[in-house]
Amino acid sequence: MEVCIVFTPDNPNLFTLNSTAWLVFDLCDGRSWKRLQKAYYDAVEPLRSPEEARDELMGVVSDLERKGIIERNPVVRTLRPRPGARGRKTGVASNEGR
Amino acid sequence: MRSYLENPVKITLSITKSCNQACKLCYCDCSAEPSSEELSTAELLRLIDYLVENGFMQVYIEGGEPLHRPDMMDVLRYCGRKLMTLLRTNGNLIDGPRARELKAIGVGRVLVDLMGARPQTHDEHAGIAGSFARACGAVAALVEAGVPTDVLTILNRRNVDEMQALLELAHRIGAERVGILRLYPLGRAKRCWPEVALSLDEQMRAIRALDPPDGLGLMQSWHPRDHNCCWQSATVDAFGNSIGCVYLREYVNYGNIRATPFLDTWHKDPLYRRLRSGEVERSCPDCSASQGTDGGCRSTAYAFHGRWDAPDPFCSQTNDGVDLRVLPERLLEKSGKRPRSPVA
Repeated sequence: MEVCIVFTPDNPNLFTLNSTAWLVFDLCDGRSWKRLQKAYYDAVEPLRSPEEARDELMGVVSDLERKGIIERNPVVRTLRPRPGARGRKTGVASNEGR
Repeated sequence: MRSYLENPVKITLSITKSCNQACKLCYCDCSAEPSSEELSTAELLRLIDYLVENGFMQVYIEGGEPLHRPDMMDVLRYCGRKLMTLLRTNGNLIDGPRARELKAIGVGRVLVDLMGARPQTHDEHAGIAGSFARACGAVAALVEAGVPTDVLTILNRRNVDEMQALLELAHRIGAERVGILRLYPLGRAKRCWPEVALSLDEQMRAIRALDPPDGLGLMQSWHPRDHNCCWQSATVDAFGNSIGCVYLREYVNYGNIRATPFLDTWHKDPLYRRLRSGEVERSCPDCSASQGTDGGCRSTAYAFHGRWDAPDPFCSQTNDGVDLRVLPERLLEKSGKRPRSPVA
């Protein structure tokens, strides 16, 4: 099992992201909203319809923006991590035998 | 034996054994002057670079009194935007301008020790007059500057009747949370243990009686919240020793970072791996369910039972009749700190 942790220096905090949020964070690499939508749908289909994927993506992007993890450039309509924000996956061994 | 966390995320730097106070219960047995053997500024900055390069996300800095080091603000400035930075302090060296500076350099949270709700209680503990007022002033200044701030206290016989008042005081001066910590048999606390230690019943009564004001978070680690945090614990002391947890400082030494990269101590020391595996003789089911860990605190388990996998006597379900007011004789002998174990 892996968990994903993001540090945001602007408003110092650590966030633990679930796998969906981590995927979106990873995809917000300066691409446009349109390309982000396509990439996200490609990652989640056939588990999600295009509409479900879009709605889900909007919710996650909104949450990541609110937390200061990603930012939107309104001029060129791209999404990327806030300056200094960085994340890592941290491997957590299974709890077998605990 | 498989350790639960493959690579650490957070680390504590117990960054100095010096302090501007003379606390009666000091676990470090601090002195007014820092030792020349403490990690230098350059060594600390290299360590921070190492932590960032190796995926650490958070550093928790405590002491002694970290701000008693002349270079502390430089160190905090260096790590403030690279790592989530938490600072534990007695608050006596924080005024308005310093609080604003801590905010500006990116310190993420400050935890201020208050050892009672009354000036007399706190100042008697701290060994200097006026400490309480300065500590409360620090909390207020930090809150004013926009730094998330908590209050910490160590529950003991001298302040047990002031816990509720302390919660209310902390809330009044703007703290977000209060952490009530158990008393550990370390340093000066160990030497005055019969005067300050409470029975487990007395501790549980005190914790159960608490009614935090609305909006104030309460952190405590008694039943059913007794957690075994060794699974993720990483600490480097003032001299560069990798010790897992500050509460293990008198019992272990996994290697010194001046000679051994920290992650080598993490991955290769057999005892370190064993403690992080979480394997214990038995565990309280309620604490396990709430915390996701087994067995409770390894430091107090080892202190009272002399075994690393013993149950924690600070949990009411695994106390097994241990009187927490009485320390085992072996703890009062010359420190039996484990010598550096060979790298596997």
